[in-house]
Amino acid sequence: MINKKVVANRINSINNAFDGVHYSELGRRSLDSIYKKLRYKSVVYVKDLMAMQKDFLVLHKFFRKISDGDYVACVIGAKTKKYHGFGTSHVVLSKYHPKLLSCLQTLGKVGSASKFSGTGNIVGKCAEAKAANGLLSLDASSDINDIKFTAAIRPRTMEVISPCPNCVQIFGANL
Amino acid sequence: MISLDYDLDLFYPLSADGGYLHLATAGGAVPDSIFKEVRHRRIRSKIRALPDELRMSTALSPNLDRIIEGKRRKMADRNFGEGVDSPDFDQEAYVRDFVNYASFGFYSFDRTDVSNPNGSGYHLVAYPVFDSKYFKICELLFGERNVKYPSPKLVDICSTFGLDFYWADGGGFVGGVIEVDFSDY
Repeated sequence: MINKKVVANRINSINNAFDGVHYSELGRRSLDSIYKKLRYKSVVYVKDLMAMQKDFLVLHKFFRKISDGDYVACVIGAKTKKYHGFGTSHVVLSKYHPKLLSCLQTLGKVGSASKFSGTGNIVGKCAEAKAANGLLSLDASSDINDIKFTAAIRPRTMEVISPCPNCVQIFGANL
Repeated sequence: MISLDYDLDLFYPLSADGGYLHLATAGGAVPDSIFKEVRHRRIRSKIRALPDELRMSTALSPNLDRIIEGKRRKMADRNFGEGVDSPDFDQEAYVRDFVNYASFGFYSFDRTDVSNPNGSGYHLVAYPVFDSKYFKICELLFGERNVKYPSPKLVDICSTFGLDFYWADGGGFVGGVIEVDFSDY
């Protein structure tokens, strides 16, 4: 029987490809290995989401938001010395790690358009910020400069997305 | 602007004479009013549920090679980290979803500059080679009967859709790109 709980579980299962709270875990991996994992997760994510899109007419009345069946625009992998994790362009988080928050605030108010010229992006929205936030929250010994990123990709097409000026400003040479 | 989070599928009729357009927004800026429209998701759901036997042949845009070459050049110019090779552009993965929409009768467009959320240029990726299955598809998706085949010419598509058509050579891309002003919809 289809009900709110069943649909919520299905949505959570899809989001777990990158995790609703932006999946991070202990374990040393090379950037190359994390990128392969990112691509694999993206393939699974797209396949599961296509099934959700097919069932939209039946399921959407139980969705938490209308966009529950839409692809995220961008996903990325990242690592510190001890941890690796992933982030997506989905939502601006309500709370960011203080080390990251202070950097984000140099671009403007989190959740608002960046003051930095040349970008239309929202401060804190980018996949890089979510991946970095997950890692900094787990790895107290790491700093923003210790985070290395994979290429960002668009799950629908697997194409690589260039970092936006906001992220270049914050994460600079590590992108 | 919630749309920046998502790679939306939007669907619009080309003209009163028939034909449909699919746009993949790739995290581009779209007004919230369009983002919230349920009808785009309804159409996508119906397309996903169409049987394979209704698929038509498709063709890729004649400009696609040049657009993909622009994307390849951008990737080649980037440093992906110490000891990490530049990933190859996977053309088969890139066109897959657009070919899927084209096979069910849609002129399928992608947003061209995926790294710039304010970029409003879209390029044709794939289009259908129409046959009689198109009439059944229109009936199943839109309840339409007595439809005609739309014009297969891109320049006609753009003019009937009220879009500017030009050859763009900016941001590293060259190809047939249309500018979409969502305030008109």
